[in-house]
Amino acid sequence: MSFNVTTDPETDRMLSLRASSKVPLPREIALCDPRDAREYFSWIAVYEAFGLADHPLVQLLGKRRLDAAMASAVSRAEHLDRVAHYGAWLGNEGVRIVDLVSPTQDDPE
Amino acid sequence: MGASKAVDYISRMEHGVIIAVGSGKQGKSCSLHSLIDLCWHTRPVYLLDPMEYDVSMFPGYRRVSDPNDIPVGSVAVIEDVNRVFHSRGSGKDATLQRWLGIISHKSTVVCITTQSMAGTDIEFVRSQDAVVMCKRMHDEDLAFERPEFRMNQVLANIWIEESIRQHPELEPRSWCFFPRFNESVAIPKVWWWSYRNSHMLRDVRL
Repeated sequence: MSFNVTTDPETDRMLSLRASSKVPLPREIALCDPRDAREYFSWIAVYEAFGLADHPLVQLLGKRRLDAAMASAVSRAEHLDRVAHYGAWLGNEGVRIVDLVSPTQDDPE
Repeated sequence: MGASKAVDYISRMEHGVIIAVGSGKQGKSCSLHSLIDLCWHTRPVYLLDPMEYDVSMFPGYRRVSDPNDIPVGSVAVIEDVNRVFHSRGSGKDATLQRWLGIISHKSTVVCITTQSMAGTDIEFVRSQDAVVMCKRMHDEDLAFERPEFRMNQVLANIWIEESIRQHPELEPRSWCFFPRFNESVAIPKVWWWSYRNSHMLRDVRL
């Protein structure tokens, strides 16, 4: 499967925001019909069996309280948004963690 | 500086809105005032609040009760914003819309703290260059968050937790997540912040 994506700063931001994990979002979720989203969320055991237990999304699914929140977030996304989402996860760009508190080597102290 | 895209961008903002959102006592105000100190060291800072309290615990700050009293080029801070501008207040009273409409002319940065975007007048994110700064939010509160912000808040919780895990030596409440910049940043606490500041409304009357 290949993606041709035309992009702009806002899309870049959205893509990088969603690319916050090392493992791609399972494609059943990324490309599923919004109306089926809820059903796919019951696949958690399958994702775990395939070694995706550490994936933040799978961890979220494990918490019953958040199921509905995530399902509604996924099911509200536009189809193209979900395709972009999947493409971004393949891109594997992460969130930066910046520590401004600890002194750096440049500091006089 | 230069390490954080978010902090760099905020330092260069002439006008705009900074929204610190997260559950109670997660360090929203502390991080917000520390960010103000970090980014706009020389700009005058005004606390916009109709309640009477002692502002001397905020060195260099002044308190005003009317947006009209905030001079050009200042930073306006509204603590716990829906005390001052009610949740859906801009539907009834146009003050907020009129004010936010001209902050770009007056070069004002408006900084607010709030516990949930669901209880915050949406005018704050609609009007001008708004940067959201997420602190941790409890799962129970997350269920009531607006859907537009819920996903970012879920990410914020994950990444703040991850940041704390990677840097166990730092104060956990110094971490802030900026969804727009995809960054989790530990903001150094401003020197004068103390228990008094975080409990500044302890003695006020409703």
